[in-house]
Amino acid sequence: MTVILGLLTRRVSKPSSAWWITLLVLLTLTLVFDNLIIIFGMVSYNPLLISGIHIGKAPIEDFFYAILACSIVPILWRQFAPKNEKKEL
Amino acid sequence: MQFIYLAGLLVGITGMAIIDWRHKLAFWYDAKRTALTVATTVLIFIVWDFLGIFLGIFKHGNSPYQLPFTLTSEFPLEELFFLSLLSYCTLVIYTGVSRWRSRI
Repeated sequence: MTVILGLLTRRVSKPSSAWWITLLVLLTLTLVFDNLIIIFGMVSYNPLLISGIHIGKAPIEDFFYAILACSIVPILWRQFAPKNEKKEL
Repeated sequence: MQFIYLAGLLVGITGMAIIDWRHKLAFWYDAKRTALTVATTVLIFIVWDFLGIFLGIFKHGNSPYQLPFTLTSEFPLEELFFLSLLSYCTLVIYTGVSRWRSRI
């Protein structure tokens, strides 16, 4: 999906250090809150269809939400920049 | 009790909005750009979510902390707010960290 978006916007550059920090923050938040909502029973998974790898109670697949968000948002943010400001962020 | 999850999500969104407002990072930097970015990201995630539902991976939890209904199949109302929080959070953190890194 990110590859498709990158190709559509024709601008995929090397991730900045800010991007890595953002990713780290999001992964940490996901780790904490995903485990919480699973412990509180708000969502459950079909154990046959997931890989079985967990970090705490969170399936590793859930971390892809954070990775996907981190990949998509900066691309879109740049994509929707006003014309006179295309080089920003 | 049923509103706890939704309330938690709203607290999260409000918290990020205050950080955004304080530092003029996203919505208070360029409202239209923020709205477009968050809305598009949420849309992409909704498709991603429905893929998971269609493949039978997700099941609505039915806990006492959630609203007792879903909008469609396993998709609860809270999910819309969660996806918005995730997208908005990513944007605020990204713009905030970018600005911070560009100044040190």
